[in-house]
Amino acid sequence: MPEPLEYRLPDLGEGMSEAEVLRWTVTVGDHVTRDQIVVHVQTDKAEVELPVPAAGTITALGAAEGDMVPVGALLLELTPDASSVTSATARSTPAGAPAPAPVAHTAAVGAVPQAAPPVRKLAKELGVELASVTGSGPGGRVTAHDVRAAGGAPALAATPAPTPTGVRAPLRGIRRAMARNMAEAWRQVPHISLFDEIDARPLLAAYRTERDANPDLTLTAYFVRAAVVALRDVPVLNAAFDATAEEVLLHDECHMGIAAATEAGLVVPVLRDAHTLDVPALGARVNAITAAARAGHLTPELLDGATFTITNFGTEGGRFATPIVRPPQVGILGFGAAKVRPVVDGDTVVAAPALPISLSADHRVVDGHDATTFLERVAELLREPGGL
Amino acid sequence: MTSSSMLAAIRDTLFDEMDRDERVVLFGEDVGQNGGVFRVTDGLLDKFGDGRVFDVPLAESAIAGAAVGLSIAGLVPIAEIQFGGFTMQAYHQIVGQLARMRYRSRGRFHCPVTIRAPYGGGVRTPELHADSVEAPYVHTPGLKVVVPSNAADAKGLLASAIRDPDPVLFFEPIPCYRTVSEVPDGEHLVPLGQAALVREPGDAVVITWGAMVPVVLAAADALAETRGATVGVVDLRTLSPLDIDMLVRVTEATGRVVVVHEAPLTAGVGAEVVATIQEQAFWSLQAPVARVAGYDVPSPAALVEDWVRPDVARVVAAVEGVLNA
Amino acid sequence: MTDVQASALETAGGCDPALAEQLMSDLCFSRRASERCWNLQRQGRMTLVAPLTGQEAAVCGVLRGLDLATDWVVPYYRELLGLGALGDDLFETVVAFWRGHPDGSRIPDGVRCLPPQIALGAQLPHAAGLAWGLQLREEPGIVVAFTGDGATSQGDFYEALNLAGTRRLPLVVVVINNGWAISTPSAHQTAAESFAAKGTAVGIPGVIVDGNDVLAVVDAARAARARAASGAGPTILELRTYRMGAHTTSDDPTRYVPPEELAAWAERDPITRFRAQLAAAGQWDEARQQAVDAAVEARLERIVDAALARPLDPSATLDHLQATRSTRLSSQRDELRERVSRA
Repeated sequence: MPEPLEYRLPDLGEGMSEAEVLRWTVTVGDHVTRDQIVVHVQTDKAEVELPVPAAGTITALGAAEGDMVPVGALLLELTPDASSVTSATARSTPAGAPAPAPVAHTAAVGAVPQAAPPVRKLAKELGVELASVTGSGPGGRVTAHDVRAAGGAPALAATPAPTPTGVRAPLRGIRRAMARNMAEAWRQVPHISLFDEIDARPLLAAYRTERDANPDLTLTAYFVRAAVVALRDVPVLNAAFDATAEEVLLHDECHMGIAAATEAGLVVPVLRDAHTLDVPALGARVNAITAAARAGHLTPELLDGATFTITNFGTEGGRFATPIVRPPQVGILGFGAAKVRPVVDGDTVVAAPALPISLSADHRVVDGHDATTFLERVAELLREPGGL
Repeated sequence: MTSSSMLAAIRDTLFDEMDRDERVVLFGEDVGQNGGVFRVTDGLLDKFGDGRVFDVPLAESAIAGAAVGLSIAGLVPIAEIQFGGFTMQAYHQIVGQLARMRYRSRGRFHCPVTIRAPYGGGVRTPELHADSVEAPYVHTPGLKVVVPSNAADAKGLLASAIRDPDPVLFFEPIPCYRTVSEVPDGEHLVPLGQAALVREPGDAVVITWGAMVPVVLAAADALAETRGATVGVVDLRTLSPLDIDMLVRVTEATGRVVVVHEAPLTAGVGAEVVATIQEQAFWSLQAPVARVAGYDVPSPAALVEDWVRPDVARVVAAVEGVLNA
Repeated sequence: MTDVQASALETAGGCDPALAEQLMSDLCFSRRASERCWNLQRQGRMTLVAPLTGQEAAVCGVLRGLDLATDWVVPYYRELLGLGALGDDLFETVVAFWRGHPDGSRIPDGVRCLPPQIALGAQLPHAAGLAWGLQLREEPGIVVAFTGDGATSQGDFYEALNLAGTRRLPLVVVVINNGWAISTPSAHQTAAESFAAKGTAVGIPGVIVDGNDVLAVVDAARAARARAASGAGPTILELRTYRMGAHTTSDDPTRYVPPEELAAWAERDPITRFRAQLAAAGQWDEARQQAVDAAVEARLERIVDAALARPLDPSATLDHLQATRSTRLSSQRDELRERVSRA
């Protein structure tokens, strides 16, 4: 039994890629003679009649009328008559090959020494005569290493750098999240940073007084309160920025992120509805969420939804910093340690505790005026804590 | 050795080759009775008669196409196109037919045709007469392109071109026609594809051809005098096929190379020279390869043409550039 | 100056039987070759085909008016499927040409024919040069160059004929006016009263012939050949026929050919006409036709099989550029051969 012959849609020319089967003139079981028209197809250019390549009996049709068939698709299969000539043409399609690599060519004696342009430059800088250097590169080429060795300059490691020793600690969990989040925040947000330092005596006095009644109160409560009040005056800092929609959402409410250092790493739980609480109430909330953070009891409600962030790193020490804004928020306020420093009092300079304040804001949304106004307001409020 | 102008050397070679091989025929516009507009073919009609030397109608495409047919009939045609710029009229027959006949016919037919054409600026000709047209022909597979700069090379290269079994374009730089120099007597063949090292490379080397050779030599002399620099000079002589070995040799010897040509800069044959040098001799370069060429405009009117073609000052500046790099 | 020549058969009452047989074979072979190659293209075995359907008498008649032992044929591409008289080897080359094989332009040794010309009109200066060469070498033989009506608008047509006229070259230029240059009707190709009339511009006589009357074509070709061989100079033969098929397998003539025009020319089919002429003179019958058809089919089959079976060697693609090879081309060739061997 002769091998079945496949008649596939040929490339009829001029870049056609497919054709529509219009009308079969034969059906399965029909006997056909060579070159008999078996199907009409429609290409981009014309209606074309296709003649079958060999005589035989049709065993299968590869497409139905109305089908779009790509070049190479099966049109029909037939069993050729025993006497039919079916000669296959082998087509070889050479695979693409990379160009043969150029052979390193050793130049004639007396020729200019061979070296790459940066090596020549290096030699010039080091005052090394290339002709006096024996090249260790292909074909006797002078390398940078050769030049350094000749110039007496310490060779850069000729051997591969040794693997550094130490303890490997892959980042996981909160630390990994911090690495990623910080990188992304830095990538997205153009930061503007402003700093100020205020005479902390009034604040500290107020704080000590209040602590008699409320021993667990922290300075953080005051910072949150000052931020909340200042945000009312400069609402653009209490906002969410949608960079894709290029839209700023000015929040009605203030949910304050409170940065907290834990054993697991930095977390920023949210103090919800900070705008509704006074300093004592804020103090209690701050303690509660900080404790929860340290205990690892942080639920999504405790972590999501902050509209602004406070970071009181002054509990550890430190003065100024450039805290990183947490998008979609547009601002973050940092407080350093209130250390004794030269402070202006009236028209004299005294030694007094000074509270450093650092503001970072998203300069896509917050301009210098807003940032300055906000920081001034915070400073003003903290200088006269009675108003908080 | 005999003193001869390049023009006379060309003429003498035509006589010699037509004597040597009776299959050689010569034709073009005004080449017979008039002896050619530069008198290069003067006397050929008288000697060889109107069975071998022909004046034909003003039709460059037919001239180039007829050369194809004459070759197939077994003759060795020398066709003159009156100026290189007018090969444009014959461009299809040269590039689309003459260059391909051996390749198309898989060797059954070939065309031992030489097309001669004067070209080059500096002689106050009108538009198109000065054009350097070599680049598209160098780019055409199947053509050889030859440019002599002196009488001895003109003789040797033309003889080789006429005897070559494949098409050769022979561009004759008009400013060099009248320059007299020594020519070997008797048979003198300069192989196609071989550049001439006119001066040994020293501190730098300049690669050029045609009418720019004397300009470059003058620049080399000036540099020797002003700063004691030894500047080598290569006269390529054949633009296709390029003498790649020479390019590599002189680059390895100096590392400081300048290429000079009359044709416009962009995509000129100089670009091929530079590309080949950086491919094959990159590690020897001490400075970027510089090119001095015609500005990227058509050959301009007679009164301003000298401003566009490379002159001694421009070549000197370019060589100083690579020396100081 | 232009005359339409009547069929020799009608004036002389009878055709040489050997010639009749030969011509009918040529015509039928050419017709079948066009059909077969067309089908092969539709079967993906050839890349492009320009059929000669309807124009067989013009080409076959010219060839039989020549001395094929000495005369040269300079084709473009339309008439290739009519060149059966030049032998099986040449015809196999023609089929390979339409297949897209590089050897399709490799004319067999000893066959006096130039490779197919794709740049219309460019072959005419070659033909003029070749005729000039034959004249200079005093060799017997003339050159017949084919061109279409479209290509007579090319500058090379004029330049070649002008040169040929000045030197009285032994050249016959056959303008096969088949009514179309792709979709441009010949009436729009020129304002000249005919293509033969263009000879006036170059001092060459032009003759208009019924291209579908094969014996008229033979006569006209013989006369033009004799004139060329005598040294009297070239002739333009305008053979009027009709392109019954498409321009090529990439063309759809239904977009521009008026169906009634096509139908009218179908009535003047050159093969049918010749058969009727011979039959009327008692020189043809069904048996003879069947014998011719069988022989034609066998010959065509043999040639087509050979052309399709011809091996393709891509590694030879960089060969035959010049007698010597530059170092650069040599390395390119080595690279190509290596790529082909790995494929």
